[in-house]
Amino acid sequence: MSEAIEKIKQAKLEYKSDVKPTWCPGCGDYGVLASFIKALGELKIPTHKLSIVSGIGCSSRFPHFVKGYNLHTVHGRALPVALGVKIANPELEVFVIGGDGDGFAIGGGHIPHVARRNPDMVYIILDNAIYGLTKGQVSPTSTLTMTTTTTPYGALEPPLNPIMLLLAYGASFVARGFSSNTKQLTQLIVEATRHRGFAVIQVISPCPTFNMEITFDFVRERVVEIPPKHDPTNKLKAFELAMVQDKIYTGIFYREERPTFEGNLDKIVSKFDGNIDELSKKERLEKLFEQFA
Amino acid sequence: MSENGNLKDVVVRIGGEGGEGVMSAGEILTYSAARSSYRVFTFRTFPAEIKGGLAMYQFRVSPYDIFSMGDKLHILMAFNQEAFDNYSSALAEDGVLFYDPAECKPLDNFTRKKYEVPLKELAMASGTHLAKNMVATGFLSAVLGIPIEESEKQIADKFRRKGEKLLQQNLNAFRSGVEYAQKYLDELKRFRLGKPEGKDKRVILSGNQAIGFGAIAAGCKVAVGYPITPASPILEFLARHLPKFGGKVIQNEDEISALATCVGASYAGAKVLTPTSGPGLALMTELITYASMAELPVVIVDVQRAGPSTGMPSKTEQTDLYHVVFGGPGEAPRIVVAPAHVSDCFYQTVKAFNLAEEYQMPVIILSDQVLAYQTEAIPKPNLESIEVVNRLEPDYESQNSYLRYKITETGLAPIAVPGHPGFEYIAPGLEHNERGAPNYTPKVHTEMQKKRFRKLDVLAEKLENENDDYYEVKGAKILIVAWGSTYGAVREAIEKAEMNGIKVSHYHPRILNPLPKRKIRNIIGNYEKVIVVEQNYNGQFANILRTFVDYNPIKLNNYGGIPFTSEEIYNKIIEVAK
Ligand SMILES: Cc1ncc(C[n+]2csc(CCOP(=O)(O)OP(=O)(O)O)c2C)c(N)n1
Ligand code: SF4
Ligand SMILES: [Mg+2]
Repeated sequence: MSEAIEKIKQAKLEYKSDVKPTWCPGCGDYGVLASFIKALGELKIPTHKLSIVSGIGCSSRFPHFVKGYNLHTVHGRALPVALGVKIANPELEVFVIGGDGDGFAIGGGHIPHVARRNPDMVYIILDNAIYGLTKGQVSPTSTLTMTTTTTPYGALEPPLNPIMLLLAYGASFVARGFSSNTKQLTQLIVEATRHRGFAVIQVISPCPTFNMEITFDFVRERVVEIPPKHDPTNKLKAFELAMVQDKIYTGIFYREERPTFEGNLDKIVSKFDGNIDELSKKERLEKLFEQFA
Repeated sequence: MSENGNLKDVVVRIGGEGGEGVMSAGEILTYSAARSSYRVFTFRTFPAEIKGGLAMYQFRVSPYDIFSMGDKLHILMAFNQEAFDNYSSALAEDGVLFYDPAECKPLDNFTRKKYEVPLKELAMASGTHLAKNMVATGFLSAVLGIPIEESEKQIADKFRRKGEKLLQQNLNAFRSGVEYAQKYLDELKRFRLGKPEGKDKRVILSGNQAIGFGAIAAGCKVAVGYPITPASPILEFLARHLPKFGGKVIQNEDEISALATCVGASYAGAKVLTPTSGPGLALMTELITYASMAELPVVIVDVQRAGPSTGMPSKTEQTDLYHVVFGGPGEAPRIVVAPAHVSDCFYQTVKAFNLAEEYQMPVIILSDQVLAYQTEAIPKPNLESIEVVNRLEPDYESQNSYLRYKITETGLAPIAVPGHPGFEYIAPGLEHNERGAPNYTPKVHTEMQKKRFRKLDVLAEKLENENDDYYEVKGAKILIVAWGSTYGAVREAIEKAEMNGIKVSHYHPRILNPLPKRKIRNIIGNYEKVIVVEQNYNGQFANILRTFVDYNPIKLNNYGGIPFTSEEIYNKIIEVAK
């Protein structure tokens, strides 16, 4: 057993896997990876208790670069996969990491349902307002009139507002960070992980290769920390901050304490004293057959 | 006909407006019969709406073993004109019609025997017009000789919660039906059932419920689904009962997320199941191949219904076979299991979980609308006789570096369950090396495809030596090959043929992918004629046989939405035998 403990100790120090990131030089996602690993160290989460789940995209390559019991799934489905991991083993620290297309376009139908369930997990959206992996198509957070490979005459759709959506859907922790501000981002990830419930961080993480509009400079010029006087338990005020267009607020917009989904599921099982041994289960099953005789 | 001129079994159909209690009348009769050791089969169709539209409940009851829901009706109980108009042609030559004169007027050209049963009038007399169905229940109990006490007990169970007054009214209605039947009893004595054979313990289950029981017995811990006819009752059954066995059940936002959540839970170590039907299966396809690629055990139940698209949701078909065997991006191994009858639904579900755990891939159970809703009084499944298999985990004490996707002779390598230090691994959808890291080289992809498919070869090799799905008749020149719910109709057609001097063998594989090719070639080689019976337009299994064992069988197909009758199959046997 001491060997196992030794392994745990080492694991804490070695979050980086031996797969090297394949991101373009200068990609915002490097800053997020660095912040994430720092946050894990601060939280002292052992890698065997860590589960990172992603969909498909440049950002969704994330779980290959960090040691853990990870899943690199299909485009847009990371959230419901992660929900399964969490309910089957609530002991695991579950993170979902992916892009704006993965989360808000193809996977957009899952966010409201995971949000209202409130499983204890962290969802980090690496928002570059473009489809990176597929080389530069428009995304749900691209700006109106933005030209991309599939909108050569300018995007016709206004971007959606992720923070407003998350607040409306009932995410119990909503924050925004910027990939270049790793100090703040690390703290946001730590806070989100400590939060019991569904915590979402939209990280503005520019794609210097394909997005010529939302660049590092563009973001730097507009980014402002949420004023310290903001009360994050006030949802109306959170909405007000989220509506601001000319500035990009970073920090925690909103947080609330609510029972978790896996906790509620466990309550149903406990109500029936469902975690009985195999022999008792057999007896119980025989009794259930009686009801159909 | 048996010795005393009575029928050996009786097929009864009750038809009426949805909401008139056709289903509960049928249920009370069948449960009472089954509790009194009769063999029972049921078949029902619902209108798509909760109220309104034509509903019907059909059952076949016999003191002897039966295999199917039967062919022609002996008795039609018509609550209204629509039931008469739609169902009277299904009556056998010597079948009889019971009808409510207040709601139904048989046409002049109707030549079968008919008897008035004033359902509405008698119901009103007992206090509520809503109890028409109880009058019918009482009447039919008396005609069939189903023990009255059993039916009364059922009515009491059903209405006690709804108050003493309603219970009394319904009991009165039931008794007035029994009473009214007395005047016809002499004339109808051939419908009276004989004493049942044997007294073994039986449970009354639908195919859907049997699958639910199978999942519990196999150790299912997470079930996630999205409602769809005819699969919803599986999710409903598990939602009610699985928590008592430590399991968690969720209705998700769609079928994609249903399978996604199952995949995640499986990765975390749980046995998982998602029930669906064709349209939901279509949405799951991408994730089925992910589970196959990441080598995660998942069980998917596809309760087939008539397609394409939304098709006829309350009708039956066997049309998803191509989809489950071949569907999805790329080539991804999966196992397909097809239960043949209600009892089989239980055992094949346990097997499906075992196969998923052992071979680390998706297993799809192909049921269908008929099997789903058909209730059968089956011998109580024997929990002692079943084996439960759990996934092979690595030796967590081992110091060797863990290779989740190690290339082995069988294609199988141990699966680590999260929580064990030093065994962290990624479940990849990308092609990967033995550690799970992305790798697109031709060599790796070729070796990994071989590795994943090798697992199917190992299973197929095992199946070469299993023979419990082959019902050989010595001297037969004809073989029927069928799969899934056609089993009963095939068995009865073969019995009928045998009585008429034609011997027929029957091969009814329960695992449709992979196939034991040598065994099938050997079986087929023994016969002059091979008929593949299935409920689809293309002859999907016949064509699969053509592809995999290079044999071109005679096809018998039915794709109207209602199950095969044994008569249709029997007629084909006669035609082929000539
Ligand atoms: C079902 C499906 N459709 C399309 C794709 C192709 N695809 C891969 S990633 C992606 C978009 C990626 O954008 P985003 O999620 O924003 O991630 P980023 O690359 O920008 O980090 C698309 C369309 C796919 N893999 N699967
Ligand atoms: S394409 Fe953009 S998002 Fe993708 S790795 Fe390169 S810079 Fe990053
Ligand atoms: Mg993006």
